[in-house]
Amino acid sequence: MGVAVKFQISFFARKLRNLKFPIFDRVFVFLLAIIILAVILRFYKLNTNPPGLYWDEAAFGYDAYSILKTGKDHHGVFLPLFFESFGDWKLPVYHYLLVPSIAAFGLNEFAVRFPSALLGTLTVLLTYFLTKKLFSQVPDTSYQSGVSRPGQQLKTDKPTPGIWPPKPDTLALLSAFFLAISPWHLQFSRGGFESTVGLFFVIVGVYLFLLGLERQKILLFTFSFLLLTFSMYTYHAYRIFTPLFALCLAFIYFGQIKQSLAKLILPLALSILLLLPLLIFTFSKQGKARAISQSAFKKEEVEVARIDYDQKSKKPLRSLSKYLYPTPLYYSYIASNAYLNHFSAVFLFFQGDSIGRHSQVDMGQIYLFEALLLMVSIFAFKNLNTKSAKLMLAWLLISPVPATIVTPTPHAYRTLQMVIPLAFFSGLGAYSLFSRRFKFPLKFLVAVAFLYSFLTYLHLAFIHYPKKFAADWQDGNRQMVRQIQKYQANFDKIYVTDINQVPYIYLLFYQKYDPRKFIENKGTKNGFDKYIFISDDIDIYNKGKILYVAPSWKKVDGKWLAAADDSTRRHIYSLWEVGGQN
Amino acid sequence: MDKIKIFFTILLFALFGFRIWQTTGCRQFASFYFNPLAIKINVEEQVSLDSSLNRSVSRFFHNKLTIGIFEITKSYMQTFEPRFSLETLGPLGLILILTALFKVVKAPNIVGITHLLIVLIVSVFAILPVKPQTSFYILAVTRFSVAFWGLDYFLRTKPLAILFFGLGFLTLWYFSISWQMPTICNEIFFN
Repeated sequence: MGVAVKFQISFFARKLRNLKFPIFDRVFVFLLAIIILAVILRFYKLNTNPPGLYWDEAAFGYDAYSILKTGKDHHGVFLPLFFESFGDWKLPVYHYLLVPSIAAFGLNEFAVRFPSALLGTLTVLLTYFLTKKLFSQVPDTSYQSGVSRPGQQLKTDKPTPGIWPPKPDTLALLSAFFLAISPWHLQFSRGGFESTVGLFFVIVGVYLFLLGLERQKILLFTFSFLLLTFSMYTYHAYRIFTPLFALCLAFIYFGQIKQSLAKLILPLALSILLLLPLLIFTFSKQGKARAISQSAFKKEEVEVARIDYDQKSKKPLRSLSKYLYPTPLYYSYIASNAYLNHFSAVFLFFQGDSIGRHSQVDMGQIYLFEALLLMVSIFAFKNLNTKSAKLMLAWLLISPVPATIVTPTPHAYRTLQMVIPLAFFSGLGAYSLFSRRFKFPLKFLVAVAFLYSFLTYLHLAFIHYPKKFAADWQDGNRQMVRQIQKYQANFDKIYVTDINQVPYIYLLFYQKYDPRKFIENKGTKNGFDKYIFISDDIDIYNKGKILYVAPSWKKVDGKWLAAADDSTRRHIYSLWEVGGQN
Repeated sequence: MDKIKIFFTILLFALFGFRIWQTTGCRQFASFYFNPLAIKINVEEQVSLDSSLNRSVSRFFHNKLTIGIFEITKSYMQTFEPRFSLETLGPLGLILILTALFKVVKAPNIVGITHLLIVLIVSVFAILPVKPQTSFYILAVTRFSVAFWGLDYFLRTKPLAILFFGLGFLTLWYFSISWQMPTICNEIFFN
């Protein structure tokens, strides 16, 4: 009986398989599973973890809400190309992406993080397609005349035996999988971060460019260049990364580009035209102010280093300082240190970015077991002497460049681009390791290490993180606004401490304050409506009956009304009635 | 070409010797010593965040075995920090090391692999309770020795030889400007 049933099941399974539905395609099933995993990891508890809403996210959200309601940002500028925000001049793409999200989900944490999580998930899918495209094309004879197609094998001394070249589907699946579970990419996909969106544009842009080279379609080139241009309007780091990467692309695929030059001119001209406002912004007063505020190159630091050298050295070495410290050379010293910091083992595998919003801190930007995979990938890489492999290597090497000219370093946010080549190299290492090259115990050990590391990451991300890094996400401001809403009807004036720098944006965001009213009444970060934002040393007495939102530690001569705690029950603010007792 | 090779070898010896001489002003070397107490501190810190969780679950993630592996590996891998390598070897030395690695990976040979294995094994000393000064010199000398493997690459053509020379000057300048060498030395006075 059992045998008959088994036979029937296998018979039907065979029949169904022959129908050629994609559901029975093994690659499709794996890819679907990876995407589902990516969705779960990126969307699960998105509104509450990360805890709180960082002020940049609040500003993105409220500006997008303001655009939705009035067509202007909260400073009253009609459809701005550069958003003043808190004076840090943010780029426009994320704001405009938020408009439909806020229209659909309302003004809340989920809506602000939705584009990042969605495009983060799609980046995983695109990683599959890009890797497949890069490594799927078989060599043809054209390479002998120096012309080759993207991804094809370059001339090698002899064919590599065994597992090489790797199966493109498997390599692509592994790369997508490592990106799907990458703590680095997950961290930025789960917050309202522009860099995730920028990376999505880059990866689609590169994919379309390769497709364009293959099919010689001007439309594909146009979309590719448009998306690469969009990435530069998404996050500041891409203003440096994308042009450098485009140069690498041009250099690596020079032969094919030369053949398609006529089809590239128009898209390139369009891109340059679209980049003009960005160029003008870069050299404007605002652009320069932003650059200076973030710059790692400060003349004072050169002077400090020189004086330190003078103080600690003896003659005749002391007299050398004026020759040793010419500014540009010293800047290159700073930049090289900053660059190398991004390849630090501590940063990659053990501690990550020290800013709590940018990493789990208790683990690296990627898993520790990936160190082994990356090492194996070095040996695998030599068998992969293709343009595509060179492209991935170039991607990895130029990714930290945007972070070398700014402080602090290493900086996970400004170098998010690294996740794609790292996922690829981890995938390559895993492919190499599990392709009968190594003994079973080693494979088993790596599999156990992977499973344990992944479970530990989930534990850290969903149990520890919301408790440990609530302060990094400005948690407590939502509760502050809720408490104010309870009491504000009884007061004409509400004074709020600006200890957390920009409380006004939270009052606007969580109350869904009418942007039209804010703009018309010329509201600012110092005050709007009945809210006034003050520093701690301002005298709050002699102002009549007021509601005072004080820092938790401040003693106030008044009637205590309520506390505003964050989600970990840490006391952030106290609400006091001042001047109403007399 | 042999004469050039000898000249380059001497140049490299001189550069590395200069770096070693600079460290004689170091009052306190940075240590890679692995302190076992770090495991206990880490476990306790992590467990304290799991107050609402079943103790066995918490211990599954935060126990002396896994945290121990994590902390020991961390101390060990710190000896391979790129900045430490740059400060020890300078730009030329770092490029030579990368060239040497490339050479060994591309065409593995028993001498090259053994040499790299020695570097990997010797680096373990740095995390043991040895004098930081001793562990630094062991690390430095083993890395210097690997750098010589990369020398051949720069002897292949004249432009590469000129590049080597240029990098040598850059390294001299780098060693002079990074006299403080923060990843090597905690406190230094220049001799």
